[in-house]
Amino acid sequence: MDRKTPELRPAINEYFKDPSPSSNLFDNISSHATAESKREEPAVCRIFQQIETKKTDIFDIIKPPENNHNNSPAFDVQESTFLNTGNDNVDLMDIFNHEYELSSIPAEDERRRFAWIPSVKTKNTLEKASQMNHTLPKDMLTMPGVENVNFTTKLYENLVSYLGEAEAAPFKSKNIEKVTQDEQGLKLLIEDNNFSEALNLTTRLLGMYGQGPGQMGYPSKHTKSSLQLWFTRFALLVKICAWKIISKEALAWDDLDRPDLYMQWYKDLYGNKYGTLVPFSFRLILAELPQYVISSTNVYNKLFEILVGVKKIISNLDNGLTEDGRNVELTIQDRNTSKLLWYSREAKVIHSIINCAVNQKDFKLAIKLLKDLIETPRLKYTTEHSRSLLSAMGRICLQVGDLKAHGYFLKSSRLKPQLQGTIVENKADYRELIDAALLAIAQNNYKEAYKHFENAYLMDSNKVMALNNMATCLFYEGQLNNAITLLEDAIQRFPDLALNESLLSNICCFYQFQNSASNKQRLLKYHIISKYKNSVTDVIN
Amino acid sequence: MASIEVKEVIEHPIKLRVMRLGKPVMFNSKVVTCDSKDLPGTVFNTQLKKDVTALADAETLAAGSFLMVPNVLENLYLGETFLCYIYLKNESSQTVYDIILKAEIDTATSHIPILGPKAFPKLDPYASIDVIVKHEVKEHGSVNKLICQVEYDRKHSFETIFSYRVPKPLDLKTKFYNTVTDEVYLEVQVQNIMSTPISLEKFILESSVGYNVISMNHLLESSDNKSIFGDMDILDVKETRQYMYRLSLDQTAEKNPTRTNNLGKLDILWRSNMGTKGQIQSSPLVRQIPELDDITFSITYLPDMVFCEEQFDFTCSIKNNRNRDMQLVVEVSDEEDSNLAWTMISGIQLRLLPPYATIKTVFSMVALNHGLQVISGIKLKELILNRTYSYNNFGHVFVTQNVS
Repeated sequence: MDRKTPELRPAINEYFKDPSPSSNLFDNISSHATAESKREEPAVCRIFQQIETKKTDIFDIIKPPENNHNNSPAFDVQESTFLNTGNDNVDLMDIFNHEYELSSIPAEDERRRFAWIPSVKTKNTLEKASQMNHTLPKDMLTMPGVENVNFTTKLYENLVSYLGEAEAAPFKSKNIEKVTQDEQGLKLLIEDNNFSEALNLTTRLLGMYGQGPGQMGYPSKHTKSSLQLWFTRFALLVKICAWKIISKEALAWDDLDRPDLYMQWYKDLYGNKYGTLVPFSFRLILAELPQYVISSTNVYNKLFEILVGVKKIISNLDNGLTEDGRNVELTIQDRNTSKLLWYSREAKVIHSIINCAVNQKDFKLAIKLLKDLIETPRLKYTTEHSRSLLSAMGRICLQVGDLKAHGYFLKSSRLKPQLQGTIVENKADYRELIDAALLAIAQNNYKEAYKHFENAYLMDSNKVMALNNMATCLFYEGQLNNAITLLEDAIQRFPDLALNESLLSNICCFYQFQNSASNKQRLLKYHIISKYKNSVTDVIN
Repeated sequence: MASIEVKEVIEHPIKLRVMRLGKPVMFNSKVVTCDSKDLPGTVFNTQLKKDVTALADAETLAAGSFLMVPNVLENLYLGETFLCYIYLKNESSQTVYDIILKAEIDTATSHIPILGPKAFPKLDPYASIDVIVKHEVKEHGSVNKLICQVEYDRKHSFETIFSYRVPKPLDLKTKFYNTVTDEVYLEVQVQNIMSTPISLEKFILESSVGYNVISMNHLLESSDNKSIFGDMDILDVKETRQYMYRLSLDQTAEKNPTRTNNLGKLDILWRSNMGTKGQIQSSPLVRQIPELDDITFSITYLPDMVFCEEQFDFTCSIKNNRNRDMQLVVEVSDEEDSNLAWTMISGIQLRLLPPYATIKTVFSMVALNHGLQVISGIKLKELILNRTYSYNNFGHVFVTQNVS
C-alpha cells in the first residue's frame, strides 16, 4: 500500500476545482482528471521565455569534440584520466595514461552506443540466423502497436470562450498539421511543449511502420528510426503521466531482447554490424515504469537487470573484448571512450534505482547505493557533482528523519572550492545555504530556515525554489498572507519557471485555506492555467 | 486523512479555519532524459536542467530541495507533536470588536487548554488572526479533538471542532529471563507499526535504582561500539528489531536491597519525514520475581580447562536468602562413574551465616579422565532446621593431557 505514495498528490486540475459557478473554465479542464484517475500529473510548464542556461549536457557524455564546450559537466570527461580512488586494486591512472580525444568516428560511436549483450537464447537464435531461413516463430517476435488514443488539450477552446479569440491567440500552440510529418516536426512540437500533438504525431508515424493503433500483436518491421519514435513516445507518455496507456504499450516490448531487435538479425540492412536497435534510454524508461504501475510486483527487477547488463559490458571492455564480448581489436582511444560511456550509463542506471527507491520509501537501499557512488566513483566527478551527491544523500537522510544528514552536508561544504585571498571565502554558498535551511526545518527552526533561503535567493541561482521555500517557512510560522504574496510574486517575476506543479500545489493549498473571494485569485488561477496548458491533457478515445 | 477541515457557521462575520500541519516534504522531480543523439535531441535534458525542483549538477538524481506543504498528511502518532494552524478571518466589511480566542484539546481522559483565552481588541475587515498551536500527544485513541472557541462583540460565540486519531507508533514486546544468580535478561522487540519508515534516534533502557544495565546490542569485536543493527538507524514499515539487556542487582547498594520488580523503562526517540519527532517512554517493565530457594548456590570461579590427574580448585558462593541464621556443613561425595574425584575433606562446618549474607568456599577436585566432565555431589546440611540441600550437575570442566 505504501508503494503508491509517489502518487498521493492529486492532479493539478483538482486544485482548481471551484464550487462557484463562475469558474466553468476550471471545471472543464478538470473533466479528464476523473477519467484517467488521479495519476495524471502535469509535466513541465511551457516555456515562453528563452532562459539562459549553460549549454551543458550531463546526460550523455560522449559527443563530437566540436560540441564539447561544457562549462561544468557533471561528469568531467575532458580529462583523460579516471579518478584514482586511492584503492590499491587497479591503478586507473596508469591504464589511461594516453592522451586521447573523444572519438567522433561514426562507426565506433554507433557500436558503442548500441552495444548490448543478448540473452543466451536470443544469442543462439541470432547465430543460427545466417543458416536458417530468416523467420521467427510468432512468439519470438516483437509486435508493438500504439493504443488508439487521441491526445488533445481542450484548453485553447476554453480560453477562446473565456477571453475571446484575440486575447487567447498567444496561447495557441503549434498544431500537428503545422509541422512536417516527420522526426523534424516531432522535435518542433516537443520543443514547443505541445506533448499531446507530439504524441499524436508519433501515432501517425508509427502507423507507417505497421505499428499504429490496433496493430499490436501483428508482425511488423523494426528499424533504428522506429525504435527512436517509440522511445520518444514513451518519454512523452511518462511526462504526461499516462500510466495506463504506457503500461499497455509496454507489454509488447517485454525485455527488449527478442532477436528482431538486434542488428545481427537484419544482415541485409546492417551488414555485419552487431548491437541492438533499442536506444539505451528506451531500455531505462521501460525499466522505470513498474514503480508507477500499481499492479507491479517487483519494481526493481528490470532496473537491476539493466545494471547487470551494463556491468557485463564494462567487464568485457576491461578484459580486452568488445562491449558485447566479441574478440575484436579496439584502439585504446576507442576502448577508453567506450568505458567512459558505459561508466556514465552505469551511474545513470544507479541514479534511476535510487530514484525508484526514494519513491518507494526504501531509504535503506537508496542510501546504500548513493554511498557507493560517493565512496567509490568510477568516473572523475566534478567538484560540483560530488557536492551534489553529498547534498542528495543528506536530503534522502532527512526524508527518513535521519539527522546524520548534517554530516553529509558538512562533507559537501568541505569540498567547496576555496577562493584565495578573499574574505568571501568563508561566506556560505548557495548549496550550503539550502542544506543548512533544510536542516533547520528538520529541527523545527523555520525562522532560521527562512533566513538561509532568503540569503540563497539573493544569489544568482534557483530563485524560484528559494522563494517557494521561503513562502513555505512563512506559512509554518503562521504568516499565510505573506506566504501567498511571496508565491504570487514568484509567479509574476518568473512565470516560465515558477509555473510548475509543485509550486502551484503550494499556492492552491494556501488559497484554499485562505478562502478569499477576491478576483485577483481567480485571475491568477486563470493565468496559471493558461500558461500551464500542457499540464492538462484530455484523453479521448 | 484530509489535511483541512473547514466548518463554517454562515451567520458569523468572522470565520475560523483549522488545518493540521505536517512537516513540509521535498518534491522529487521526475527524470526523463536521453542521449543527445536520440531523436528528441537535447530538449528533454534542457527541460530537466530548467526544472526548479531538480538537483543542480546531478539532475538525474531526484533529490531536489523544493518544499511542498503536504496534501496528504501522515497519521499523527502517540509521542509526536500535534501542530495546527488556526486562522480566524473577518470576512465582512465591518470591523469586529472584542474577540476572544480559546483552544483546547479534548481526549478520552483529559481536557488540556493549549491556547488562551486570548483577547484581541478588534479585527478589521478582511484581516485575519493567525495562530499556530502545538501540543505533544501523550494519549492514543480515536476520540481526540481540538476545540476552538471564538467570542466576539461580547455577545456572539461559536466553536469549531477538529477531530483526529492518534494511533500507536511502535509495538513493544518484552520477555524476561531470570538466572539463578538473580540476574535478569531482558529481550525487547520493537516493531514499527507506522505507515512510514523512521530513524530510531534513541533507544535506551533506563533502569530502576538498584539495577545495573548492560546493553548487549553492540558488536563485541568493534572498538567504537558499533551497533549490531549496522550503520543505519532506519526502521522500515513493519520491520522489527530485537534488543537485549542484562540487568543485575547493584552490589554496591545496601546489604539487602529490596528486590523491586520494576526493572525500569524504555526511552525511545524517533524521527520521520523531514525530522518529524516522536518520543515515548514505556510503562515500567515489571517482572515476576522468582521464588528464591533458601540458599543460592553458584559458581564464582571455575577453570575452563584442567589437566588430567592434577588437582584444581573452584570457588562457589553460598547465599542465605532467609531472614534467619544458618549453620551449614559442606559434604562432598564422589558419584559413581564420575571422572572427577574430590580431594578435600567432607563435613567442614562453615561459619554462621547471618540473614542474607554470602559466604565463599573453595572446593578441590582432581580429574581422572579426559573430556568434558560434569561436577556433581555437593550437599549442604543446615544444622539449625536440619535441612539438606543437594547440588548436582552444576558445572563443567574440560580435561586435557598435560603435555609439558
